[in-house]
Amino acid sequence: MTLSEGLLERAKGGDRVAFEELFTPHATDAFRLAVAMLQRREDAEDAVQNAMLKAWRRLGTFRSGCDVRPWFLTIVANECRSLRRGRWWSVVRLADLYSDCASWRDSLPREMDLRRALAQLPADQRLLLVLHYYLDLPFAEVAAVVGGSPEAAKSRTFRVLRKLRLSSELIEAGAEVQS
Amino acid sequence: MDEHELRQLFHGAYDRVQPLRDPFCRVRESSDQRRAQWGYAISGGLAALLAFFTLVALLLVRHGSSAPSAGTAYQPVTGATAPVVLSPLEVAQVANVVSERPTPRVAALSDQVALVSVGDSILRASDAGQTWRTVYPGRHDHAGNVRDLEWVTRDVAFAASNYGLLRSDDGGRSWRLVNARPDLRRLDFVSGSVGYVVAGTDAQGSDWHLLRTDDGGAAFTAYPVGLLPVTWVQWVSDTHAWAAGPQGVVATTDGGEHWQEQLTFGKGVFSDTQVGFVDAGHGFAYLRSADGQSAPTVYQTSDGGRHWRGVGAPDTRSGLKDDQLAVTGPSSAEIITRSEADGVVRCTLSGSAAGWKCLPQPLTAETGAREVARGPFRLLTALRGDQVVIAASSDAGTTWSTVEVDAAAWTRR
Repeated sequence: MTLSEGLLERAKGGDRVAFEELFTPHATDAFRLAVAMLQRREDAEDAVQNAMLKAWRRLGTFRSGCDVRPWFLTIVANECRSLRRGRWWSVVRLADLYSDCASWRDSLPREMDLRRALAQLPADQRLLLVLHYYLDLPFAEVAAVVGGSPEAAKSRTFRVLRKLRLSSELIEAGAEVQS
Repeated sequence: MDEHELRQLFHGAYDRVQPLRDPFCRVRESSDQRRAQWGYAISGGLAALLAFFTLVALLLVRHGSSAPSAGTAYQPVTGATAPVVLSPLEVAQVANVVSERPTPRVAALSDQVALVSVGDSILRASDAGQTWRTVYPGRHDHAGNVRDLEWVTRDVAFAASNYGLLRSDDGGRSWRLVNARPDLRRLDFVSGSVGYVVAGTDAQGSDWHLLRTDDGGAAFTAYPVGLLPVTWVQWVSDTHAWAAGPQGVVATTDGGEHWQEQLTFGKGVFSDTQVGFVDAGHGFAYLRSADGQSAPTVYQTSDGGRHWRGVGAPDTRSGLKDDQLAVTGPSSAEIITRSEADGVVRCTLSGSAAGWKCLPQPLTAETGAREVARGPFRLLTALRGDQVVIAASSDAGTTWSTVEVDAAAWTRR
């Protein structure tokens, strides 16, 4: 039995310390995913904390021998989707994303445009880009999170990337930056 | 932009966000609660029984005949905030509040934490709507009525009442009056300090207009959008917003610098328009007829309102009254309405091809019901006699659990 398998079995048995040890390495990726999906730091924190609670409650249904990361990221992605649907009135504001003023004032126009372009994508398309290009997940793992085969995940990701490239905001901003 | 550049952009855009503080705090709270519950169950059974009877006695003393009905999960008023201390000017204004028909309102922070108002009292639940606690008991004479409830962040929430704007900074657990304007109707705060409010003195909406605040609701200034009256406003990003009224729908894509017409209606045809967007692209507009006889209309857009197409409207047997649009996804929406024959009716649209499907819900009501959706979680509330009925569903409305709260003491009619 490997160390993580041992932790998993202990966590399944209700050992909270083992649960924290098992999931701590995935908390950062989960938070990065939530920040990019929700674009608001506070919401992202909310989503990850809720996802941790759900993972803790559902750990009994997790199949031993499988990788914990995609399973957990799926819960985080669902939590983000749920938060985002419910909070359809919410607003993407830079000050909500960065806690210190200097950070958001220093944001490059291209980064701001990326956030805007992402905000206009449907959540499932945005998820593909975030998983592959931000979390650097291989397509096999992207597929494990979003469902379907790695090939399908790959072709869908490229289609969304093409759509993002065509986003007029990015093109216009790109022209401005170059000029 | 190549893939490498996109990766760099992602890192540049999001890596500077302050790190996550404590991802396990809710896990710890949850298991501590469970442990505490077991501890209480084993060692304090007798004490709990004693406390329960004391609590019931206290409740009866405080509320007279307004004790919760048997079998409800409603919890008593323990921990309710003390009445808000007002300045002399506010007292004078509040004293002149015109009593209006109590209307229930609902707002959800997550699929666990939610607020419901009835009259001018506010209840809070943190267990998916199963148990409710009074967090704002309202004024002594209960002439007030909360017209809109809104969560802004995990900590900040607002309530627009007919005696002013109430604000909570502790997740809805306590409330204070921040402005004594009696004309606030609908809220759309984008942060704890900046917000847009529909205001007007005419109950029918003929003079409703938009206001903006930059100081958390202490002061408001007029915010013209080229449309009057305005009955609805929604911001979905720092650049995109929609405002709507009986005359049409206008939108901005540049943070409010310019507003453009997106839909224009004939004068006198519609009394109210509601808009709801899930993102900058996907949304619905719901037009209610002025005379209650003409058919309502629902429009849908998937390109931020550049193009709208009609998607029919729900057909109920006795016509629509006090109805509310709730957008639940990019191509799905719900309209909560009330018919004399069926009580509260929930009409759902899951993709325009499927059409509207209406089903009576397991609660009758004498006021329009209000619903909030968060993923598959639904919370539906309505007023029936002196009871607030709150129904919660965790499977998108397939099955419901219902809680009734006695509201006789809060609704002066």
